Amino acid sequence: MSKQAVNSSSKINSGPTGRGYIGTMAAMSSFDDESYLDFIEGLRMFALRSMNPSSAKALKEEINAGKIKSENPTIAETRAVADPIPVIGIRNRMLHSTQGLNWGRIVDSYDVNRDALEQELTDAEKDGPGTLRWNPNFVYPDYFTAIPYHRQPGSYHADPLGGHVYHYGTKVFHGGSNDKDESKIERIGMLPEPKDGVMNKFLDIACAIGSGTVAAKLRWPKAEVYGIELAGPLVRYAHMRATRLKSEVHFSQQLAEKLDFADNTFDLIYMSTLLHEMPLEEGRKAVQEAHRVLRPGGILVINDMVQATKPLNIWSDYDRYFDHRFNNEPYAYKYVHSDLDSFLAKQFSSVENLVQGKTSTWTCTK
Amino acid sequence: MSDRVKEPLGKFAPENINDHVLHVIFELAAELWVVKRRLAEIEESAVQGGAITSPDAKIRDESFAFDNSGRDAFVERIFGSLKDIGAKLDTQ
Repeated sequence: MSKQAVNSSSKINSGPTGRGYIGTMAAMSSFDDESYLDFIEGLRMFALRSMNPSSAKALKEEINAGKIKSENPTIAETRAVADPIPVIGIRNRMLHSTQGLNWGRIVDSYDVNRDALEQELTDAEKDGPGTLRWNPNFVYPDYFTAIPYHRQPGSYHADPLGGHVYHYGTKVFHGGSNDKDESKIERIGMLPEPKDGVMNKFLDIACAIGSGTVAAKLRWPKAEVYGIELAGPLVRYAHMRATRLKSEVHFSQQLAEKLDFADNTFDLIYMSTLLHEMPLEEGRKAVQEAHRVLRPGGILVINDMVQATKPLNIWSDYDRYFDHRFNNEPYAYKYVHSDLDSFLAKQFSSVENLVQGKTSTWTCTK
Repeated sequence: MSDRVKEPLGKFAPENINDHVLHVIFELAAELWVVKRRLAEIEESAVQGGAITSPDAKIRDESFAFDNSGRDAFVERIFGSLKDIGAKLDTQ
């Protein structure tokens, strides 16, 4: 009997792993895998909520004691003081371990039902209401394949189950705050519309698993909604997931720096957490491409890591560099020191930057 | 107390082994949580149905939500003291 069948006793769709769904993602293949990852999620949240403030406080004490003299120290100067601090070392180990344990268990658990999970991707390809364009022989740029992002086994592109793995991995990474797309729906709900009120076409650049894209269709049901993503496994997963949610979204596999849309096509474009994952030059090209396909008066919203300040927030800089060093974010550290604001100001007629914690939201009008 | 217990800590393992030991502790704690959660589920089933069934047979529907409060308290109990270590280890 197919695992896709509806469980006769509970009348709940048992899905490809036979254990149903948690929010919009297939449940782990066993109860123990689910519990293991539940713990990892809790430990990661402890690292973020408790170890992070303690670590920042400990570093500040050392700075106040004169261990770092400059207001804008180099990362080498900061590391010389921060790395040996015990609470910081433990925090670093905790974050590194939780990330590795997270990916390892997800891959092992989904691997048990690999055939069924891959089959659902294939089965959904021709289904709607939305559409999918992707190329199994797509040639990825070298910068993209050079390193497995965030230490995800197979990265975004090399494992057909990359979308499944990424989805559950980000569930743990974000502490379960987006299991039912709730944080994406909230974020998309905050996007501004063009001043003239015309909102017919929306584009989600680097849409990953398409949760923001589906949220956009919920907010603007009459608009044409598009999502582009470079990684084949992610864009296939995005389409499969949107199909299951009966969302009419049009996904395609494309380079953000070389879109195949005509000039002046979109009213609103959303670009979330992309630029820090690209070399600077390619990131700048992606912004210019977004500008090209945006119509006059249209809006590009960029959501990404906050740029470094002067004087430097020394703890934030250390934390970002830790991510760069140990969590396979090869381009992020350069990105946060790249003065994105000046670049955007040259491209758009107006730019507003709203900083919230570690995140910036740039609202750019063409 | 035996002589073996009196031996100073750190005699056999280099100082930097702590990092690896921490990793092992996290792994062990994760496995412990697996056991605790499974037992709780079995207990609940036993109470409700009068028979013990495998939690693996429990199929999640999309509205399922984790109760994080027990888990977070468990994590805090085990690891809570680590956040208070601060900038210097008390070696006394």
